[in-house]
Amino acid sequence: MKISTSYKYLVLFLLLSIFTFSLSGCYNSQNIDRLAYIVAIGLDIGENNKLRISFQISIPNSSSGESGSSQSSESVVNAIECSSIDSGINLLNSYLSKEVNLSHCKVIVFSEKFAYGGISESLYTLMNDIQIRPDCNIVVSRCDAEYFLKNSEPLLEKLSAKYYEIAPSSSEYTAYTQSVTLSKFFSNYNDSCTECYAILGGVNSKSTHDTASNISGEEKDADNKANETLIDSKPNIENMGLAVFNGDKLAGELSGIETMCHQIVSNYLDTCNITIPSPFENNKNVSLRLRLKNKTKNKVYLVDNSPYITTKVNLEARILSMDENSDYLESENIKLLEEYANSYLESKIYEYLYKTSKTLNSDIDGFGKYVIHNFLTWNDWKSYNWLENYKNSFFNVDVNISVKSGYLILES
Amino acid sequence: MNYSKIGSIEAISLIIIVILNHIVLHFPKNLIDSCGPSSPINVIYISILIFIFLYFLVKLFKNFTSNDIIDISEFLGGKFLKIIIGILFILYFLITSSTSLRNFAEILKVTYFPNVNIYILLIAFLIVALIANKFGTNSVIRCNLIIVPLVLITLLIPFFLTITRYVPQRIFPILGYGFNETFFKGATNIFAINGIAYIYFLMPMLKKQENFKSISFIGIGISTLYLFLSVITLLFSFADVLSVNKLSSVYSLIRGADFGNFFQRPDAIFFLGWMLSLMSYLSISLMLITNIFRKITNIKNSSSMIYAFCSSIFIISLIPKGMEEIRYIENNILKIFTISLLFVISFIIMIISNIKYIKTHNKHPKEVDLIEN
Repeated sequence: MKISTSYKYLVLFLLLSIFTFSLSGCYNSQNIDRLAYIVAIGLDIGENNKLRISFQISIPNSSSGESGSSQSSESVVNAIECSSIDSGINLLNSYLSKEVNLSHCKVIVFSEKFAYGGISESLYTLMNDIQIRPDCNIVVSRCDAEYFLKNSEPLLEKLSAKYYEIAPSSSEYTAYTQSVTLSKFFSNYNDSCTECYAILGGVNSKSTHDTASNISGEEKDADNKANETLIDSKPNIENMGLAVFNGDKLAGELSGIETMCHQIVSNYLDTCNITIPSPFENNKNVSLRLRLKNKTKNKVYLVDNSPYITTKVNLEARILSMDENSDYLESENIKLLEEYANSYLESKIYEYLYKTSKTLNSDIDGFGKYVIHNFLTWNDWKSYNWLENYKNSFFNVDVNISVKSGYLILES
Repeated sequence: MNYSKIGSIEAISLIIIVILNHIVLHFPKNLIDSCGPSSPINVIYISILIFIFLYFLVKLFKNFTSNDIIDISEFLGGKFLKIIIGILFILYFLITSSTSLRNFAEILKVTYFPNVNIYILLIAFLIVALIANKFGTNSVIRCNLIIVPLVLITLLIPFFLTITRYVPQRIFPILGYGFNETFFKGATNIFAINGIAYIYFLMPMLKKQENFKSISFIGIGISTLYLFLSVITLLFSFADVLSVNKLSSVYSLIRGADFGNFFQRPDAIFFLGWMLSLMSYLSISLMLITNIFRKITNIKNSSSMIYAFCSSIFIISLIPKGMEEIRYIENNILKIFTISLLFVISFIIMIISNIKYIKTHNKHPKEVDLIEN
């Protein structure tokens, strides 16, 4: 096709325009030097006002002489009493010399007190914000959110934003907590088959070790919740357990082992370690590394309109702990260990399920999805009101752990 | 019409580009809103309906192997009917492209250009469509051929990346909001597959008219497949899709998809693909509008009319005050208009024209051959 001269000029003009604007660098007020990057937001009940909102703001590295990373380790926490999240951001904007930007926000922390009152309004506001990414984590703090943020000092990570991003990933090998993102939380909140839950966080310090559960001495390692683990270190944040919601209100907490049971039942388990009393010797323990052998099979039947839930768990375990008298090449020993582990885990899962059903009335495992096919229309399903009926559930748990020998030592 | 002749793949791309744009905007969400959990069944149902419709449409075109709906209207009712149908189709393409343009511009403004005036965004897209049309139909159709595979990929990626969060049980309760909503009221969701509009104009554009049937079926088949995939993905990925109306459902998918640690925020890449898709869609609509206008007015050079129609799209796209009005126009006015024009009026014209053709052909076979050529 023959292109006329006017078209050539037009194309030339357009190309020049594109290059002129694209090569001119930052020219408007949105450039990186004029923005204050928030890496975490904390929400507490305010003393005088409705809301006390804390912002952890990243301080760009000044030593490099350049604009620096938005994920710098140094950060400052500012708390504001305000009537809503957006008015808080507005107040912070007027206080700071830079415009607040939430696009690097990695975690949103609700204090327990705040969460007990309902977080629906905050949740929808946060979901409506274009800057906040749906993959930022939701934490419910056992202490004030402001205190939580002020005590978050990355020990092994230079970047505070990165630290928040990586912290919940420990769930992949401990199963003591679970990564819960904003979009997942919001989806669960709007789901008629399941309730929502969040990461349970706290500030671990010497004073929090002196809680009632630890003083009793009866609790095991995995029965701890956030801030209860006996770690000798300077005060720092800890994620352990889950915060369980009923609707938009906090209903209660799950410990590490309960969170593990939740992940086993709802098929989120990657791998985890569990310590059970030894079947061979009194006052001794055996540690096992667990992973799902097959997906957990959940079925829900309606018996007289009450849910009867069966859970069939299939796990694979490897023995971690060894002593000089271990003999795991004997099939009888393995069988005994399997039986012991089965009954131990079964009892834990029963405890966990009845806790969610009777105490918390919150179906965080999404059992509703296994019964919804019994209903023909949406109206039938809504009028049955699964989430309300979950408290009438009764359970049948069947655990089958196949224990393999140890890793490098098979017999001693 | 004086189209450049196009091949089969180019023609298929032409049909697909419409549905791709509408998937990016909000059609899947509309379907979910109307049927609830039974929306995948509804998509299968409307797909069956559309294939039955298409089967008869292809049959009806057999007697008009080098004509489009405008020519056929002229054959049936003379100039009067030709002008009426021409105006209706011009209006249809003007309104659909204007609302799509405004809808996408609003999404773009909210996500990337909050401080940019909406006029600028609208004009940016229209300039591209205008220049493409100034270069002729060949450039429009060939550009579309390049863009369509790109957009197909950008839509497939989020569908597969969100697969880990699928909850297939969200298809229950199987009848969704009710039998009536799924199958009777739900039949009106057939308007979502409005790529059928292009099929009415496809015949004279084809290099090989004998491929018309396969082109139509493949084009509509891919469209329905993508619609089904998008509905399934949205429904299975987010429980909130039933209760919350988001700006763009597919964009929400992209935001929520896990791309690993290396590619953390690749939204912009997808947006680039979708922008190109909208540009191509606008160019094609503008090309069709201009050609229909040329046909009904018999003007020799219609290229200057491109400016007028571009301005019309620009003005119409500014009429809605915001997203609520755009959604209202698309879900109500455009739905009725689409069904009436594409599935009722045009189809009736095709049937009656065929009857007339058969009658005339039996009486004066030579006369009909002349009309055909």
